[in-house]
Amino acid sequence: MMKRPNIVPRVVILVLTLTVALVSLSCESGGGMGVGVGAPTRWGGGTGAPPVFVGGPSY
Amino acid sequence: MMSKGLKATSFGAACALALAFGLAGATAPVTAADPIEPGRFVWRDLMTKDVSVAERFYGELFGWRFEKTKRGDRPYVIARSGNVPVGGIVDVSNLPDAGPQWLCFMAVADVDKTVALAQSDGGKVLVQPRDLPLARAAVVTDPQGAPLGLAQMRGTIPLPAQPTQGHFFWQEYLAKDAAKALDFYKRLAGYQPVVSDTRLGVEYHVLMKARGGAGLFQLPATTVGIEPNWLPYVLVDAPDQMAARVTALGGRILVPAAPERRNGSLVVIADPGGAPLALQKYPY
Repeated sequence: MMKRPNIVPRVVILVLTLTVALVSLSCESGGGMGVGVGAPTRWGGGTGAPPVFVGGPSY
Repeated sequence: MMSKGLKATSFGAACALALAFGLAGATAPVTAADPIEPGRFVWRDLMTKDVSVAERFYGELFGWRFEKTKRGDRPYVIARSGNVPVGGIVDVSNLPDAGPQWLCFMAVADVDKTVALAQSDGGKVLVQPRDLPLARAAVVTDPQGAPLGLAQMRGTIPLPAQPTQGHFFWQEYLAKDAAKALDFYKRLAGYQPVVSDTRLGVEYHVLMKARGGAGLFQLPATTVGIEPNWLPYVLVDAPDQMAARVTALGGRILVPAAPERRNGSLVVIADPGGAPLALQKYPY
């Protein structure tokens, strides 16, 4: 019977596998939304007067 | 023939993978006690057909740094100012109808009910409600056609006491019909609008919740080429000086600084892809 040389301890393989899986998890679960939307832009570049920006932020 | 050791290792690895990906696939339930107030804008994603150009532009302009992540099998870039995530970048080059724009996400109590409300008022669903790591989210157009992200958040996002340079801090709805828009958004998010300015014949409405976070005004009838939209604002120190850098970096000035526009404290730009964005000094 062929015997596999036990060069790398099983626990190391297990830890590495778990690390890779968790890295994948962290990439997926980061912040943000990331939803692509196929909607045209709303600023088409007109030649009329720009909006009258009165008022403004009130933080 | 496999040794017992290999079998045991493979079994352990399989269990670890199953556990990890099981966790990845699972999404935490959205609790009824959502600490984020509905109506608050919680996130902005840039839709662009050239992610690397966008990274270069916003990196040079605001000093943002970028982290490549994924949503499913699609790439997704998180922009950070310092260590704080400030927005995302989505590659929409595979969507033929996609125009360059920043998509603003508003917190809602129940995304499915809010989507239904938007539809019943004449809005359209661009992205059906779906579970994302941060929220259950959807994208709609409102009755005047403006795209809007809706997010039923999980967890909390701290609201800073004061806005921070280089961060989004405001959004503004440019309406074709302000009265109808106010009615819609009052019902959608429970806003209590307050008129803060009436100069030049334009009423500026601050959409109040616990604190203001958005404004709304009507586009003049003479405006051509601008359809109703949510315009996101980034806080900057010197918008007129930054405008010169915008053009040098490949962007365009859509609305230049002018004394009659908030004492020259506002510049509206388009990034190299064409996505509009407001640069605002505050206070002004």
